[in-house]
Amino acid sequence: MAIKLIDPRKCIGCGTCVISCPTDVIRMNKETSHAVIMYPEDCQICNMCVNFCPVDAITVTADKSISILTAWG
Amino acid sequence: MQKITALSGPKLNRRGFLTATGLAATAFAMPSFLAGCSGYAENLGVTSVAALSASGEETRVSTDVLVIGGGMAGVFAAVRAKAAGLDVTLVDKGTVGRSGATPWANTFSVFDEAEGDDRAEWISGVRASSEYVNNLDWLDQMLDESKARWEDINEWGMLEENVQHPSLVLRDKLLENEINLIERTMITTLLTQDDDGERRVVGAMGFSIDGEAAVTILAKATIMAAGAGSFKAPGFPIQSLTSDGDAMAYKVGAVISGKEWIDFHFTSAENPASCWSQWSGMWDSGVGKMSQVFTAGMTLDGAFAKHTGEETQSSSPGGERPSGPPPDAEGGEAPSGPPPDAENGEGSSGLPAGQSQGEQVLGAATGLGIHKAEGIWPINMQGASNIPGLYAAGDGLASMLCGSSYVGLGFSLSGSAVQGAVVGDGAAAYASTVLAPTLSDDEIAAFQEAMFAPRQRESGFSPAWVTQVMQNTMFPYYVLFVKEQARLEAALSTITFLREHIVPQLTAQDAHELKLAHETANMLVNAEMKLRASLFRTESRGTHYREDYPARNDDEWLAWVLLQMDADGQMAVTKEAIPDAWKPDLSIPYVERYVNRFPGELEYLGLASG
Ligand SMILES: Cc1cc2nc3c(=O)[nH]c(=O)nc-3n(C[C@H](O)[C@H](O)[C@H](O)COP(=O)(O)OP(=O)(O)OC[C@H]3O[C@@H](n4cnc5c(N)ncnc54)[C@H](O)[C@@H]3O)c2cc1C
Ligand code: SF4
Ligand code: SF4
Repeated sequence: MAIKLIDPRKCIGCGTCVISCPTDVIRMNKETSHAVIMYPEDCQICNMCVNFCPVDAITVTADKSISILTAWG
Repeated sequence: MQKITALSGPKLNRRGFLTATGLAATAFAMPSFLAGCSGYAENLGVTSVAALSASGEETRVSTDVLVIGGGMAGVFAAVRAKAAGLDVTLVDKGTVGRSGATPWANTFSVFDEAEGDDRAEWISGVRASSEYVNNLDWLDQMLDESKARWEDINEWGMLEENVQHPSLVLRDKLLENEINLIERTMITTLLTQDDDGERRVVGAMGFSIDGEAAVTILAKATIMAAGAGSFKAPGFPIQSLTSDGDAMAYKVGAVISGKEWIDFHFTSAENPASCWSQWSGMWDSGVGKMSQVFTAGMTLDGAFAKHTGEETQSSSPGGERPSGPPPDAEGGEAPSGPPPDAENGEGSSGLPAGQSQGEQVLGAATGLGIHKAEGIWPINMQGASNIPGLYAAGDGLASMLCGSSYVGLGFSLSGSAVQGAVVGDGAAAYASTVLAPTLSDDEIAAFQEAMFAPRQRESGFSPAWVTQVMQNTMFPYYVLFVKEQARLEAALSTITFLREHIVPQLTAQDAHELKLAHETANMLVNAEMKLRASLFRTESRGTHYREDYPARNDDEWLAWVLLQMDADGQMAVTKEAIPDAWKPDLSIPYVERYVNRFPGELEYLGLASG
């Protein structure tokens, strides 16, 4: 669904995907120095992160599911 | 530039500390697919303004000209204001070159008489496609200056084949010009002060989406270049654009216009949320020059046919796609490809190059209007708003370069460049004549308190839930595509309830959600504007179709709809007539004056034959 995986074995921790994501889905994990998916529900499937990642560590798929709506949430 | 760092303040309270460690833990666990729509709930990240200012470095900047938004318009505005010898600061909620609409555009309209472009032909094409609610002065400006701006971006290196991405060149240009750049900072508030009873904009406030510290920028002139926005609709890559500029400007008393026009991009039926499936083609080519103007606006025959069950007279063969210009009249078409046929609008596949080929559904940009025909209403040709100190440029300026429909490929990008430059000059000239702001620390603290309010609520509604309710209200085609009084009023009652009752209860657990909270509130302002403007314009024109008023009414509606907050805090709607000289020739019979037909139009006018 949308952004699916940032492969920690490939990620070199350059931070490019973080600054490339227009909707702030990705953040750096300071402990591991790897990029992590923080807010996947806000992924707009634009592939900016994929296109700018120098080592092709990110997988984004075309499908996305939407949360169920109830009375108060 | 002056920078003040706030280091004092109480230590983190236990709750704030727990939140901070909790966040770190989530970062480890990668809580994919957890959050979603929690709706009304306890705010697990609740904190206080004091704790927030203790945890990060607050930024305070004083500058001459502040530019909000670093797309094509903002970058031109900043570069020109800097060239006037002023101190310039540009702030963006994302990173310049990777945010907003600009990275996706690949055509740039250039009017060039030396290449054989005919001025009269362009003007008449724009007027007809706009259905006469465009502004001919802003069109003149674009015709005069688009070539020079094209030469500028060429000189900047934006057109070179070896650039990683053309719009990254815009960021380099800011740095090269020593423009103070503040990125990943969500601007939420225009700062105002009263000088002798006159309210003036003196900068803006926001917060860093990384550190969450407040960012306060005091400025003599502020240029809103924050683009347009949608309701985070699926399939159009502008979900970071939520009409923030319009909402912020509206709240300080600025006049907003163009809200009844609607953009109607498509998305793929198979994976409607995927912008990449739809738009990957835009990345295959660089930015190319376009010299082409349409002869008529768009129609939504496919959507109308689904609603009425019958084809309309101007229907395109498939019945699925708008006739007239291509569905993505602003992009889609690769600049190297053959120019689209303005009559049929589509290539042989029925889709412009760069878009996916599967079944397409409408509504990818719901919430967006027509580029260059919505936003802050200018009172002069340099983009000044009715509030002193506030300027606007590009997609956030209701210049009415276009009117009720798109007018040609590439107008949006080149319009942003042209307008950015003139507005940069205008704001710089204004900034040179006024004194620096004198906002007190207490006043700044009050603005901060309001900005961080969702972080301080113990419980309330999540922005994601409110956004979803808003989308469910605004997305169905029968609200904004096929409009009718009772349905518009029904939607309006939900939207005003959300604004009045739910927005004051929005919560945010962290900086990311605080951004969403402000975006949600801004989208609701945009939704209310779209509904009120649509109700007010009791006719149909261009992309505005009222089922209950299915024809143009030139006696009443050769006019623009203006929205402004009244003394009671309610949204007031008025209209401003188009200058007589810009009206169509009313002696031409109606059906020839306007070639596109709306369902029910001829019957309504008593012109139906047979
Ligand atoms: C998919 C697509 C294809 C397109 N194709 C074409 C084309 O081929 N030709 C053409 O002419 N036009 C095209 N357009 C339209 C064109 O891209 C825009 O009209 C133009 O780029 C707008 O430029 P701008 O600078 O006015 O706004 P934007 O480029 O949208 O820039 C606005 C900036 O403001 C920032 N911002 C917004 N809110 C805030 C806030 N609250 N705080 C801080 N910063 C904020 C954003 O992050 C963004 O960087 C296309 C648009 C899209 C989406
Ligand atoms: S696909 Fe786009 S929205 Fe999704 S994570 Fe990547 S850059 Fe962000
Ligand atoms: S861009 Fe690629 S390599 Fe760089 S941090 Fe992101 S995933 Fe890692």
